[in-house]
Amino acid sequence: MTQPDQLDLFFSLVLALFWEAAPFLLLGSLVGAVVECYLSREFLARHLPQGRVGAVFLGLGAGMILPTCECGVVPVVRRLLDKGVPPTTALTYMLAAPVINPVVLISTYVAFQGQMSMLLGRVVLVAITAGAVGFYFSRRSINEIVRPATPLLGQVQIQPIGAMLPAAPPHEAGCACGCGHDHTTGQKGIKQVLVRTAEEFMHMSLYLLAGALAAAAVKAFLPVSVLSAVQDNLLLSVAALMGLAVLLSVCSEADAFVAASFLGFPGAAQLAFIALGPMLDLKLLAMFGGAFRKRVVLVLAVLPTVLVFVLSIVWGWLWW
Amino acid sequence: MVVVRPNRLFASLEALILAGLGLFMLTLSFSQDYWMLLNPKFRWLTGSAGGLLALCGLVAALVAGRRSGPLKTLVLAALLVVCLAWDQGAFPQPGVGADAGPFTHSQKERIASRVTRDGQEYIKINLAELFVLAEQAKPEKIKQRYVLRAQVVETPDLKSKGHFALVRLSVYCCLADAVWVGFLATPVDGTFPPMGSWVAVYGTLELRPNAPEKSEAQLDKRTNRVSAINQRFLFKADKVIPIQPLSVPYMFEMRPEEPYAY
Repeated sequence: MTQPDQLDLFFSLVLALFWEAAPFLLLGSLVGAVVECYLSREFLARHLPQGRVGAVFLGLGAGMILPTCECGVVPVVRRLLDKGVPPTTALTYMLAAPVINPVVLISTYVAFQGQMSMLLGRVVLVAITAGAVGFYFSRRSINEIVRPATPLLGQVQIQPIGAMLPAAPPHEAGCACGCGHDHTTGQKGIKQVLVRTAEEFMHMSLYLLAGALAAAAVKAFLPVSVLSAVQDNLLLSVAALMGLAVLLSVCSEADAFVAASFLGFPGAAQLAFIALGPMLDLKLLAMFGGAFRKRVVLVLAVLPTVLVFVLSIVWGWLWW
Repeated sequence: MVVVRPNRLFASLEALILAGLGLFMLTLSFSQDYWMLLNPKFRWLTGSAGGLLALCGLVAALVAGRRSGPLKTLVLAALLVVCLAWDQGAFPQPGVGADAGPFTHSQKERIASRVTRDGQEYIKINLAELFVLAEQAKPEKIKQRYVLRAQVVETPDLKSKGHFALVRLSVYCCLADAVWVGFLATPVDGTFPPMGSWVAVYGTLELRPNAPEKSEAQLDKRTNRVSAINQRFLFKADKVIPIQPLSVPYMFEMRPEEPYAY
């Protein structure tokens, strides 16, 4: 069989991962730029629910009707938070949207050949986890969540979105023009949207690239055969496939097919793989690091891991 | 006299490199080697995103007042260099031989769904489709005769049991989610095809009496790839014909019914 050099494989995998994700990151950057330029705080304040439960359900509902790949969702959520969308809604949306959308649900259904327990399990696990994370951050302000625009190592200056544009006068309380414009942000227009899209893409692509390098290194150099040793133990197999989901960083549209190929593993372990991967992987961790504060990144890593592990085990005991 | 400050120079440079990356995406979407990284069904997505990215980069390069540093510029430049190196064929890939050629629609569409050999009619199918078919275990499909194309894998352990493996990479989105899919096969008249060779195998599925309830997830640890080898069924070969390496060795499509993607 053709066996390419592992380094060749590594570079090919980096490119495959990056170019697979790049269109979605660009789309996310574009949506984020449109939100930045055209969605006003006033509009959102008027229309968003005030309660925490309503905020969670809004985040889940938005995930269903505004599907966003995990590679593109981070910039969108960053802009939504900037605009005053409650953290509960924004973070619930961020974790749920890559999974509970029609495209991914169909691919899950096909990959597992109509196995409804896997489809429902995926939706339930992700919805509970996303809602719990959203709930956790419900009392936090945006300043406690979003990372300030600090320079990266060795970099003169990272431009925050819109920093190149002149600041507009602050919004005056009681403004009732009803025009839908954001009075606290800069200029609008296609040119501004394109520039902001470029800025956001350049910023987040560094983190995407870092994640792709890490995931490709795992794929090219780490022997996955060690997993076979734990496939007969429920707890260990769930933990092992969760770890693999984080390391492999497979797209949420394709991960069900990869999970279905782990033939010797219990269904609970396969479920854990497809539930955790779209919420937490090396690419996402790197992008979380570029968008959120360290403590938030820590919670985004730990809480979904613990919840998915526990829920998968429970699901495994109940279903299989 | 116009003074160009380094951080503004870097900002312009990185925007131009971004435009270059966009152009690379655009050309990649038309490239005959696109399938080596991504499933060809995503060409439109890559091309559209490439065009938009190039436009964003060019517009950003023309905007005055942007600032940046050397790190981001260097990283993006390195990425562009690696992309161009890949485009020149610098990185060989798993399952792809020197004879790999362009992916064209005509190659997909020229296929008739059945072929007759030695008076027997065989259904053309690829390994991934046969794998799903075997898992579903519908009797009327299991008993049919099939022909498939695959690479041969032999190990001392398999050979001692009288088997060799037929494998092919199945790719859903990109190379990163590629899975080796395969079957164990029995040779004709005890003759094993050479390791790594490409063969067209004509035969039938045969349920193994002492087969494990679940197939093993790994076959060849040296490949370090996720493998799905069906061990509930053997592919009992009627005939094994050596063929040239496939111009597109990966499987990008799984059809549930005839005509299969083959």
